[in-house]
Amino acid sequence: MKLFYRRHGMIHSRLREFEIELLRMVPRLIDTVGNHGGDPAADRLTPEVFSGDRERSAEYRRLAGDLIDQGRADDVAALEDLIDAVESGEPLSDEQASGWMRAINQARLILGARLGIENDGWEETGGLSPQEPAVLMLHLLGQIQTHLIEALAGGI
Amino acid sequence: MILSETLVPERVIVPDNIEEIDPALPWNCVVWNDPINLMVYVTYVFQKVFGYSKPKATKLMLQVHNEGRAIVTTGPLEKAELDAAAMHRHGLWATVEKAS
Repeated sequence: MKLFYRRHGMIHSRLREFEIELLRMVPRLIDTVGNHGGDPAADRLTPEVFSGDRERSAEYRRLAGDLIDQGRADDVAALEDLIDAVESGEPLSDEQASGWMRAINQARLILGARLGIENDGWEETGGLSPQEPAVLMLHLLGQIQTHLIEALAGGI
Repeated sequence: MILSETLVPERVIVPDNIEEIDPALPWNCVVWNDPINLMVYVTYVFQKVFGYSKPKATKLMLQVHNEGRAIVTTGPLEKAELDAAAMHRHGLWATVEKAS
């Protein structure tokens, strides 16, 4: 069963209660991101754009950083503000659903960084327990994100 | 020999970073593989942000996945930086480098 589907130009959901509750955790998780050097999630979300050139990367960050951060905050707000409406059956516009998609992605990147996942194939290698809450959350958010992208891609 | 002594300068001054003196030179926006971003997501982002067809977006995504990186756009420095910012907004690992 697809968790999202497109009808009359809007994205409708079939999210169940546990998936709604999981999505409610996304803004709270993103809110925990700390500073560079102290939190691997912060390093992952803002990579060095000119590899090996810290000065130039810092200048880029100074010019583009606020815009990127504001965009990310808008994505989180789209999820936080609309989750109740979606739970009660309201659909999302493509723009709103895109914000959800990116907010979910932020959460997955944070989880992956904090779990120390660095290589492809981590799902199969057995190094991480699938029962661990962070791993379970990573998988479930991936499933929700996939279904959301499939519904969005139908509008391209 | 006097001729060579005349023509060969004592010291050649080379800029430390030649890229900084010509921002119009072509630059690449490069996306790197990471183990978290979903393949379907990376493909969708390339389609949506750059307007690429699904086959082109898929090909680039597979290049990222299989080879570790792919050049997604090439152009002036400012465009490469804007493209990298769009990738960062979407959580993709992007860097900017001078086209070789």
